[in-house]
Amino acid sequence: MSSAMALPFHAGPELGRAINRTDFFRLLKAAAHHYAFDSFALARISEASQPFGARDIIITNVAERQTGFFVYAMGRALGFIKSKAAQFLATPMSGKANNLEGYPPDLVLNEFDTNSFLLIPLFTPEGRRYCVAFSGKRQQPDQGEVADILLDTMRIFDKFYEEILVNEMSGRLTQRESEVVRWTSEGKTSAEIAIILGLSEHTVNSHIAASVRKLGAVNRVHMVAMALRMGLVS
Amino acid sequence: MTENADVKPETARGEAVKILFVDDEFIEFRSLKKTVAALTEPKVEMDYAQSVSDALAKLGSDRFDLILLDNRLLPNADFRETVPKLRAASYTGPIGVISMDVSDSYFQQFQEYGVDFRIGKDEIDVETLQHIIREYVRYDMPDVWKDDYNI
Repeated sequence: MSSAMALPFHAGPELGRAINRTDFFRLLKAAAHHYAFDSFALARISEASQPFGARDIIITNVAERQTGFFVYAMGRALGFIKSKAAQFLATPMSGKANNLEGYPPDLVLNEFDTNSFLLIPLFTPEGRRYCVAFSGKRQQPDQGEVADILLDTMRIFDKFYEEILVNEMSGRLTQRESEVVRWTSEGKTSAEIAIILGLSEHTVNSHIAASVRKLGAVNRVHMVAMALRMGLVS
Repeated sequence: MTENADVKPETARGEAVKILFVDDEFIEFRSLKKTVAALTEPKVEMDYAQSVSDALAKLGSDRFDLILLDNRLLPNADFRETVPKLRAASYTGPIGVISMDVSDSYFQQFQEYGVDFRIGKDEIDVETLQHIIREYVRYDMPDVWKDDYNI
């Protein structure tokens, strides 16, 4: 067996090939399972509810209705995060909520309650804060394992930054985004643009969302007006 | 998880997600149906097409929220030929290409051919299907992005 074949999925060639959010879902899910965790959530660090709320989750394998439970159980497992936010900024944290005393009676016990959690803080070069939280029915990882998980997660996040976040933060429209803005300025709907360009409506809406954000617009009409004003469409 | 709060009207939550699975091996459809059987949320309805022409016929008579397409269909077409045919028939829903091996270099161009995502056959499980549905079928979109939004 070659050394390349021995690499786990999330650290092998698929890491270099990842280009969209589903590719990163595949990598993070593989990483979680490789380290015997069941669940993961890549999230923005929230100013409002540290470390993050369900709405800050970007990619996860936690079912939609379970995300609130996941975040709640994580908060219990890593309970010292709120009080020691400064420490959270740089180092991974792990914890397990074994003590169910004081559990709110109106909250149903859920599958994450007795899980181990590991939270890996991540940063972009611009200083934006993200994290990946892993959760599973396993023992808390020791320092050596945390270091391995940290390294693997940072590699995946670096690629995520390169492929997804850089484009999101860029002010420049891609060729596809320009095409979509141009067709929108012609009065076409997302469905019509999808047919014209041979894409899905989902992809067209993603391009519109990106263009709205990049042009600093507040809606589609404003996006077209901004694009016209900036000479991006004629 | 996307950033916003509204629901795409044509696939409102609670309705079954209709998936068309296109593969020349019927046994693959049976295998996927077994996987889907473990999926309690959201509800999923599966249909099967053995070829692109079969899929085109089904698209003409029914609405599908998602197409899962085997990369290699007989005689020897891959997504670079098959997906444009589905798009040419005005199908604007998401298309995911499934393959035993997604490592060939041409897979890097999947977005240019109207494909939304690629996935290995052995990677498909309940969690992955839930992600796909959340990401591509029931994604949230703010009012201000919608075609009919009025100030």
